[in-house]
Amino acid sequence: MSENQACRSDAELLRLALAGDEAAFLVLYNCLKGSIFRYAFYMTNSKSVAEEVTQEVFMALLKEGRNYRADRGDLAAFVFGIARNFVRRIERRERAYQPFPLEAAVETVAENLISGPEVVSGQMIRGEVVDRVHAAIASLPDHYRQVVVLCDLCELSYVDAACRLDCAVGTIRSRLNRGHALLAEKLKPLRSSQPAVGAAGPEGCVV
Amino acid sequence: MTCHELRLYFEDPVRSALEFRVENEHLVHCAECARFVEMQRQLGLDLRRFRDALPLFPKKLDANVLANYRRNVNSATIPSQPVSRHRIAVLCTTGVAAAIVLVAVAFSSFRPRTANPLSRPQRSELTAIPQPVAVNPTTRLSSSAKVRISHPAVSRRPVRRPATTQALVSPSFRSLMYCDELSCSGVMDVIRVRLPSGEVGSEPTSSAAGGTVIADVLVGPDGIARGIRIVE
Repeated sequence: MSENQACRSDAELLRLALAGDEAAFLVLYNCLKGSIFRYAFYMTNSKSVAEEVTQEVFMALLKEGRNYRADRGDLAAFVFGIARNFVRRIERRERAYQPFPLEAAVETVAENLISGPEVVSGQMIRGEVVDRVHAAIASLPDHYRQVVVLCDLCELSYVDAACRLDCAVGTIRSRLNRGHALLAEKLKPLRSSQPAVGAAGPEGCVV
Repeated sequence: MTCHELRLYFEDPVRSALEFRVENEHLVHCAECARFVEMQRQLGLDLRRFRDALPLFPKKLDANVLANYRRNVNSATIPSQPVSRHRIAVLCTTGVAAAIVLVAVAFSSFRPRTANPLSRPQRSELTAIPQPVAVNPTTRLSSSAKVRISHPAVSRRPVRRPATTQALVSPSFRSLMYCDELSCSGVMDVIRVRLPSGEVGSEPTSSAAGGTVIADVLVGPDGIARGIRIVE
């Protein structure tokens, strides 16, 4: 990546990329691909879907990039909008969220933890926890789900998340607080089966 | 919370140690908040596990995206056919519409005027070549008897004839008018009469009965005879 390319704005890089400048396109691609891939993975919990979304987003950017206006927002927000639409389309197509009885699945995991934790490997537990967390996130209403994914998983700041979702920072905070409460309620059966933790001891361990 | 989990909590970049110590003092005295904070911490732990489950970015995706970009750039150099097709379709539609409008205008302008069904039909003029009128030979005609034999095409209603119609007069009739040649403004009738042969200037023939001849006389609507024709 040349120094000239690094100093250019995203809008200028996009203009050059659409005109056929491969170097400018690569700069944009390397800057945006990670965030798109992460967002798509955390929304779908599928590596293959995340790859498909990332590839489709950049193809769509080449076709719709002329519609981008820098005065309306940054390029990352524009690309995020494309990614969100693709994720929604794929979810509708593949019906990624399959409602399942959380209680039964959690009870199975809890029984394994209580009866024989040495039998069930830590990796398996961790994988199941990941699946349960993803299922709990997928069951949230869309406006809570978007905030949780952007702030907690994609590690965006409140300001950046507000820019992506075109809302105020206070809205992000309130939605995130509400989203956490809902997730905690959904994941409570999983944690209720864990061994009880004792009160804080002299070492300073908190309950 | 175990010591190991507590260390993980301190490693969280979002929450600082100072804030944790403040909350820790409260949690000792408030069980409900302690449960709430514990639940939030557990949630943070779960979310961290999910976050760490992110797979590595596939390298093959870089090659695919770059190939798509190059393909898009190469296709962009070719004139987009859909645009030209659309343009051609628009032009054809406009041309067809214009042609239809022109045809409609031309048709309405040059449409032959149909005859008003209420208008008087054109009547064949009497000055056309008269058809020979068949006369019943058994009919006895006197000099005063007039057999009004109208030409089949003759109309009872008067028809104004231009002066040029004089050329259409049958040459078989001999004009009786002194001034002009069988001119008549209206429709004329043909009357068959029997006249003495001496009066029409014809030589008596052996077939003439009692020295009379049969003649057709053209009589105008004014009753004035215009022409005569001797019928043997």
